[in-house]
Amino acid sequence: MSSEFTWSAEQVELRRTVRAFAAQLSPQEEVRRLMASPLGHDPAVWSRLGEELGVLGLATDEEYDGVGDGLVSQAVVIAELGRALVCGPLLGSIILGATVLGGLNDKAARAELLPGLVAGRTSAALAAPLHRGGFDPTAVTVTATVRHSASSPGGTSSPGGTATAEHTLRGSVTHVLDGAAADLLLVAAAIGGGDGDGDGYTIGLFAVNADAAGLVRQSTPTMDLTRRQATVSFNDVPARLLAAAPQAAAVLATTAETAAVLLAAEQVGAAQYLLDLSVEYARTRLQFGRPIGSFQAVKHLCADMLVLVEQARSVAYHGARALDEGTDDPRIAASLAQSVCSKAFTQVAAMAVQVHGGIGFTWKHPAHLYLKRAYTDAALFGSADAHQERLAQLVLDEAGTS
Amino acid sequence: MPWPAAGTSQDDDRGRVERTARAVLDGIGDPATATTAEFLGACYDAGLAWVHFPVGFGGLGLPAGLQAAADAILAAGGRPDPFLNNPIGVGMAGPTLHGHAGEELRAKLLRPLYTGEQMWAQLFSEPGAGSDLAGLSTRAVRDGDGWVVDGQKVWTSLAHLASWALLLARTDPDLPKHRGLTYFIVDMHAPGVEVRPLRQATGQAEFNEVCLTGVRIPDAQRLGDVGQGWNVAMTTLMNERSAIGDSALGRDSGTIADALGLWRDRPDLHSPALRLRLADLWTQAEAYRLTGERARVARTAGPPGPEASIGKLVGAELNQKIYDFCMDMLGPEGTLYDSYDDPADALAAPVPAGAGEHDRGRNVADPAQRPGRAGASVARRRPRRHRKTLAGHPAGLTHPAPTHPAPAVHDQISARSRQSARAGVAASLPERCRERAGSDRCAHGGRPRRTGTRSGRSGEPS
Ligand SMILES: Cc1cc2nc3c(=O)[nH]c(=O)nc-3n(C[C@H](O)[C@H](O)[C@H](O)COP(=O)(O)OP(=O)(O)OC[C@H]3O[C@@H](n4cnc5c(N)ncnc54)[C@H](O)[C@@H]3O)c2cc1C
Repeated sequence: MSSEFTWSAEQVELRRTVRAFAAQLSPQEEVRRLMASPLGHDPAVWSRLGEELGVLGLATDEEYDGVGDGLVSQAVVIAELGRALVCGPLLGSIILGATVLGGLNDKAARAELLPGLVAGRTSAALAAPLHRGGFDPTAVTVTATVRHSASSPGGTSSPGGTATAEHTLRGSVTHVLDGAAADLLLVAAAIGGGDGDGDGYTIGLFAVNADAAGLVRQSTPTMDLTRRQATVSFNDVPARLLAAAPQAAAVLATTAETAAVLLAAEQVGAAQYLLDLSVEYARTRLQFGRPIGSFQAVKHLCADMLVLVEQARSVAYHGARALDEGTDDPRIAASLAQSVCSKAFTQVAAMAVQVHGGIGFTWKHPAHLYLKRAYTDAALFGSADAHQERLAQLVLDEAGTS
Repeated sequence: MPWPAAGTSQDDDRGRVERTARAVLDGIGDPATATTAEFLGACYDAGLAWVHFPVGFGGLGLPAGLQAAADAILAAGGRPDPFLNNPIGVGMAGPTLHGHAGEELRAKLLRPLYTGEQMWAQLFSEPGAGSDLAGLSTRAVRDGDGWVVDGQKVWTSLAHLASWALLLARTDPDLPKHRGLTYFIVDMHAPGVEVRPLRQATGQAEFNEVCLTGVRIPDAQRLGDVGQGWNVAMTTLMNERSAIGDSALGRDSGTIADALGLWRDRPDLHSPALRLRLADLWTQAEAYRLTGERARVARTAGPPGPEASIGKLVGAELNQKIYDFCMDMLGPEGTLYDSYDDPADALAAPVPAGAGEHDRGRNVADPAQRPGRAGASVARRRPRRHRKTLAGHPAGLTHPAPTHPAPAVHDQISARSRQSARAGVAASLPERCRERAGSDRCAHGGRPRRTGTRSGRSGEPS
C-alpha cells in the first residue's frame, strides 16, 4: 500500500517535461488548427514525443526500443497529453496498438512492429470490439479465410506486410480509433471452417498493411474533433496472422484492461485541467462586485469537481499499479478505473460549463472541447454502466460462489 | 401550491374556450394547407393566443388557467407551437407588452409577434452583467422626445433573426443599481444596431453579440416609468420561467420520448442495468410532468409563482440525466456528430415552427433581488433525428454519416441553468437570504467595441 500512490523522481520529472512540451508545441490554438486539418495531428510533434522525449514507449520493453518502466509512468504521461488535448494517434498506436503487440508471443512480429510505434514513426489502429468493457468475441464482424492462392500480397515491406499473408479478411468494423491514417491495422477476425458451419469459429488476430488491396477506410465525423475514427472495410484483404486461438482472445482481453486504465489516466488529466480552469475563473470573474467563487453555490460546485477528480485519480493510478504489479485483480482494477473516471470526467466537464456561464457555451472557449472528449472517452472502452455490470459479476456473483 | 376551487362559471368559460378552439380548427380546414402565420393568426384573432389578454389583443379576458383547454384542442388539431416558433416573443415579450405597453404598441406588435412574422430577442445580458443583471452598463440618455442608447449586449439568442428586442438600459447612473434602470423595446433594424453572431459549442451561431451605438428610441417605446426597468424586467423573467417550467405535455412526450424511442428502436443495445435506469427516469419524468400539470391548474390567474421554478429545476436536471442515458446506451455511436457547420440558409430563415425543442437556459439569480435570470433559448436544428437515423440499422453507421443531435452538448444548456432555477426556488422562500452586492460598478455607460472579431472579449471577466 505504501508505494501505491507515490511517484518516483523520474515520474515527477516526466510529468513536468510533458506538460512543458505540450504547453509549447500543443497550445490550444494548435489543437484547434489540427482538429480542422485533414489528418488531425502533426506527425512531427508526434514523433518528437516518441523519439526525442521517449514518452510513448514507457510501458514497452527496452528490447523493442521502449523504456520498460510500466503503466504507471505511461499513465503519468497520458494524463498530461489529455490535459492539453494533444492531438495524435495515442489510442490507436499506444494505448491499443503497442499493448496488443506487446502481448504477442510472436517475437519476430514484436521486434518488427513495436519500435516504429513507440518512436512515433509509424501508427497503428485496432479493429476489435472493446466497447462493452472488455473484448467481446461475439461482436467480431470480420471473418478470415485461408488463402488458397499462392500469389504475393502486393509486395511491400512496410509494417505488417513483410511475411506472406496466408489469410484474407472480409467484413467491416466501425469506430476504429485513428483508423483512417494508420500504417498498420490490427484486426480481430473469426476464423471459420469455410464449410458453411458458422458456429465453430475461433478468434485470430491479424495484421493488415495500410496499402493492402481491398482495404477501404472511411473517416467518420466525430463529436470530439480532436480524435479521429474510421469505418474500415475488408474486401478479401490479405492479412498476416499474428496470434491464433486461444492467444488472440487473451491478448485482446488484456488489452481491454490496459486500455481501460490508460484511458482513465487521460480522463483524470483532462478533468484536472477543467478543475484548474474553473477555479481560476471563479477567482477572477466578478459579479455583484465580488468574485463568483465567493458565492457558496460556485464554491460547492468547485469543491464537488475536486472530489470527483481526486477520486478518479486514485482509481486510475490504482489500476495502473495493479496491472503492473499484480496488486489487485486486473479485471476489477480496470473496470473500477473506467466506471469512476468516465463518470467523473463527464460530470466535471458539465460543471465546468456551468461555472463559466455564457462564455463556457461558446466555440471559442475550451470547455466544449473537453466536454466532447469526456462523452467520447466514456463510450470508447465500455460505458460506466458496462463496467459496473462487470464489477457486479466479479465482486458479487463470483464472490458468492468462491 | 393550492388546489384550485371548482366553480361553475369557470366551467362555462371552459366550454366557451373549447368551442372557440374547435371553430378555429374548422376555419383552418386541412392544417397542411395553412401556413404557420395563417394558423397562428386565426388563433390570435379568435382570442386563443393568451386567453387572459383582453379581447382584440389575442385574448378573451378569461383566467389564464383556461389556456390549457385551448392549447390541448389546437395542438391536437395541428397548430404549430407558437412558443417554438418565436420563443422570446411569445414566452417573454408578449406577457411583458401585455403588462406594461400602451394600447397602441400592443395593437401594433402582439399579432405579428404571435404569428412569428416578427421575431423577438432579449437584450439583457452584458459582458460584465450576467447573473448580476442589475449591474448592466448600457446607457440610455434622454434626447428630446426620445432616448439615445449606447452599450454592448451579449449572448442574445436569435438577435440575428429578430425584428424587435426587449432592452434593459441604465438611465440614471447616480441611483442604486436596481433603481436606475429603464425598460424599452428596440427596433432591431434601427440605425446603430449591429448584430454579430457568436459561434456556440454546438457549432451553430444562435446567440449573438449586439452593439448599440447611438441608437434612437422614441419615448413611446419605453415600457413602464423611467427608473422602473427592474420591475418590468421581473415580468419578463417570471414569464420566461413559467414558459420554461410548465408547458403542457402528455405522458411519454418531451425529452423522455427521445430515450423511449431509442429504447424501442434499438433492442440490440438493451441491458438489464439500462432497463432499470430508464424505468427510473420514466418515473421521474412522470412526477415532473404531473407536478407541472398541477402548477398549471393552480395558476388560474395572476402572476406565475415559485412552482414554475420548481418545474424548471427538476426539468433541467432530468433532461441532462435522460441525455446521459441516451449517450450511455448508444455507446460508440454516440461519439459521432453529423456536422458542426452552421448552414448559412438556416441562419437566413426564421426557425421554422416545430423545428425542434427549444432548450432554454437561464442563469443564476441575484438571490436578493429576483427569482431567475435571463433567457437562453436555443433552437435545436436537428431534433430527434437520431431516433430515425439510427433506427434498427447498424449498417447505417457506415455511410452516409450517421446523425444525431449530440444530446450531451445540447444539454449543457440545461446543465448550466440548474443553478438559477435553484436560486429561483430559494428566492421565493419566505426567509430568503439577502445577499447584496457591495458596490455598483456599472455607473458608466459602456462604449461599444468596434473591433471586427466575432466574439472578441465578450464575457471575459471585467
Ligand atoms: C445559450 C444561451 C443563450 C442565452 N440567451 C440570452 C438572451 O437571449 N438574452 C440575454 O439577455 N441573455 C442570454 N443569455 C445569457 C444568460 O442569461 C447569462 O449567461 C446568465 O445570466 C449568466 O451570466 P454570465 O454568463 O455572465 O455568467 P456569470 O454571471 O459570470 O456566472 C458564472 C457562474 O457563476 C454563478 N454565479 C454567479 N453569481 C452567483 C451568485 N450570486 N450565487 C451563486 N452562483 C452565482 C453562475 O450560476 C454561473 O455558474 C444566454 C446564455 C446562453 C448560454
